[in-house]
Amino acid sequence: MAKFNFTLNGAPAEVDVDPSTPLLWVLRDHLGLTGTKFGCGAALCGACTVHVNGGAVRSCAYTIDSVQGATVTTIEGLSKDGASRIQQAWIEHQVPQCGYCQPGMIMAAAALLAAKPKPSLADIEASITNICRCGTYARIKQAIFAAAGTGR
Amino acid sequence: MDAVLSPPRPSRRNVLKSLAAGATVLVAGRAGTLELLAQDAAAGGAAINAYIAIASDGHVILQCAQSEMGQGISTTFAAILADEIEADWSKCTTVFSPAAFSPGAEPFRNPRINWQFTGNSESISSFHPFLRKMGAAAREMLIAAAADRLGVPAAELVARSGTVRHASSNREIGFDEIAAAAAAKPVPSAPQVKPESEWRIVGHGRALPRTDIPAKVAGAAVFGIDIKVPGMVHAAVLSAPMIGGQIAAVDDAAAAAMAGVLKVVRLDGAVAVVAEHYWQARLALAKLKVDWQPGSGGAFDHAAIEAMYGKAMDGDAGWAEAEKQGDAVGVLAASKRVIEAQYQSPWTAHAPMEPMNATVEVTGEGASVWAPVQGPQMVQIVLAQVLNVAPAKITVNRTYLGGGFGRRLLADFVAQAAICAKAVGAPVKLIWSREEDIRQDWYRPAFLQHLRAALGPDGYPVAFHAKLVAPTILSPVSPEPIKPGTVDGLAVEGLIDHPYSVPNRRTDYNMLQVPIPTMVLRTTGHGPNNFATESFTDELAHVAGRDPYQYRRHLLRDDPTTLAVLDRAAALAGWGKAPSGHFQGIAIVNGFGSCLCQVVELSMVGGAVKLHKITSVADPGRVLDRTNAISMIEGGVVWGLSVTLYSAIAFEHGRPRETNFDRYRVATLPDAPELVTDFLENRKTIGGLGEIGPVCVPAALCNALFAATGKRYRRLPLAREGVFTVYGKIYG
Repeated sequence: MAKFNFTLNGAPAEVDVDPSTPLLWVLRDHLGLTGTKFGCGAALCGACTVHVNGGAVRSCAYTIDSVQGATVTTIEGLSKDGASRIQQAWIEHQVPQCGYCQPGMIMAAAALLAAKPKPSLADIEASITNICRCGTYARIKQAIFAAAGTGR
Repeated sequence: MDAVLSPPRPSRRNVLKSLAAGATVLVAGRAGTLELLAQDAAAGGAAINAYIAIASDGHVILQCAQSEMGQGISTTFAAILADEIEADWSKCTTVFSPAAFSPGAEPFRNPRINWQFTGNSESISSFHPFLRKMGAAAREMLIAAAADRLGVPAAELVARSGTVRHASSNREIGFDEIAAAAAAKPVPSAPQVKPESEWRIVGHGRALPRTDIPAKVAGAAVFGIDIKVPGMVHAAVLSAPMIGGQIAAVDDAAAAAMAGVLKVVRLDGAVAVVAEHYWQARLALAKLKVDWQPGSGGAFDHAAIEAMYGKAMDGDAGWAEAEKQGDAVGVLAASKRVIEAQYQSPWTAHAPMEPMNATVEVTGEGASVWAPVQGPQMVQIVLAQVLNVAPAKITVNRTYLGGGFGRRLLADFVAQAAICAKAVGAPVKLIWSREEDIRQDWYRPAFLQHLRAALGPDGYPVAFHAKLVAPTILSPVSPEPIKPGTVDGLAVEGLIDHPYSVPNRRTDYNMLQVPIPTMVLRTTGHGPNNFATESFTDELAHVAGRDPYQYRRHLLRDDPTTLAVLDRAAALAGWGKAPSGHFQGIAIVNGFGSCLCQVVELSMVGGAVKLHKITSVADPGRVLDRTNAISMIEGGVVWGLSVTLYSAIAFEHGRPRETNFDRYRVATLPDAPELVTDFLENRKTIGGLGEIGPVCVPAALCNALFAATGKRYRRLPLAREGVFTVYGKIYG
């Protein structure tokens, strides 16, 4: 067990856990933020995507000892009330079906748009590698274009 | 399929009598989803019937008997009720109903088979007439109460948007003001549903924003894995690596000494560690030393399983006749123009994004469950056996499901959580790793079909004979044992009921016995069987020298409703008018009470497949909510691409080789091409859209691939046949 301090959604956070604990389980199980989802445990599906120091990471394979002193943003911290332009685009395009993968999708899309405010289709295809078993990909593409202001 | 998904059951009671029984339950309130109403009831709210309550602020609270696993049923189910009541949709709240063995909860059973489950694409088709009656009964009771209050005949009143109105005196009264009086009115014996022309919320091309989406994009929606119960601890599971394996010996000394560990619990063919936190349980799990005893199948491998299929297909034993019309075998024997081909679909896993999980608290007299399940009554039956209590003592609080696809009809994972909860005397949330989720799956089995057709002088089939080898998919959820040598009605779907006019037809089925658990999975028998029949139809068209679309037109000459879907899809896809270098494939199915035709358009780029467009036209009789209907088809197409291109489970040493998304490949975002979807509403009865979406994709894609390359692919997935997409890096 060891203590770790970081900034979580704009507020200080401290946990005392085994250093090998993935950030995902620190968020879900110790800090009560369950918007970030467990899908594969091997950084394959992206359901656990959060931002660490502004970049998208797969928190199921990102141990807490890598987070010491970092700034972490989860779906709960993306906007105060789900009102970010990305989340609004997700609602407007009625993207989610079961919805389980969508917080990770939205966090991946937010990181993409932060890096490339007007992404091309190729940019989206290269950077949104998360898995959605319900198959909402077509609407995800539309929603990202809409959030970028390049909707068609 | 009347026998599907239904354990033994009591005789059906009168629907309207049970409405009244349910109302009592609503007023009494229960833990969980009904707290809202229970609290409100004290403030003057009232339950009109089992499904419908009116809160003191005028909100209409609607019970959803079905599980929300992404198909949008929590919106559509409530909207059907709200429309019939004449409620104000902006003031409706949906809650998930209790499980149907719970006291007074019988009205939440699927009225077709008197059993509560979500699956088989039948939430709408089975509940629609029933829900309309429920809503109409509530509306008539509200109007009767308003008639008393306003002192006018009920016939002069209309309900509209949460009020009852009297036009001639220009008076209206809110539902909230008459809720209690309405609840005391006698339940109408024959409530009159509204004509379709007066539907104001559903149908008529309307697109209804889904009510679950805002919470889902905010990360606030509560799935099973998100449940928090006071005093809850966590369990992780290690199951036998080989299918059917059992524990021979466990050395848990190192695991038990790990930080936070509360108990190591032996399960059936698995060991669980219960700890204060989930990751502590996972760390301790890695310290377990378990000797496993192999299952009855031993260390079988994939080649051995495939050989069993081949032997069954070629042999005489185990066959049962599933369908016969005319004399297909005799005509084939006499024909000089026989075409035959064999098709194979692989083993697949459900792998919903949310791994199996459940939270259980065992109490003195029963248990409380919080879980993402498709079969609430199945949970009650299974836990009743595990805990030796009556099913009614098991309270099931349903959460959102992070996908289901059939897997969550079973309750094996809930039973594991219950055993752990009983062992530690605290609420336990048990979560499978993805590896456990796939290893402990009940798979959709491989299907092997041998199809033969005799062509007449005009090139059209005069006889069609299908032979199917596949294990049962119905057995785990069937009320009766499915005996070898009989017909599994779900496995032969799509063979016995394909829509083409062929005078002599026959289907034989051989229920293979395998040492692997098998189960329904999205598209049940239709998916593999449509791959076979609709690929084969293209092969026949090719032999006959005819266009695949025109060939099907002729075969559908006696079925104008299905033909209309084919024609609409061909027109929408621009059949025969694709750009140079693009190739099209078409396939059609009647299933789940609906019809669907899909056209795939692709090109070949440097030897790889590039998908351009998939056009889908469905006729479900009535489209209640266009946005969600399109979503179901779009998502279904992507599911179909997964099974066509990538997904397969193979077995090595008696265990699945693929246990995570690195090797169990599924479609990803670049795989989704342009999707064009439209609907017809010609069918006489309402059908399902949740399962049909993937069905025609395999055949339509392989038919397009044949048009492009001249090569016919008869085995799936294509990645294991050396076919790559331009997004590449596909391996077998």
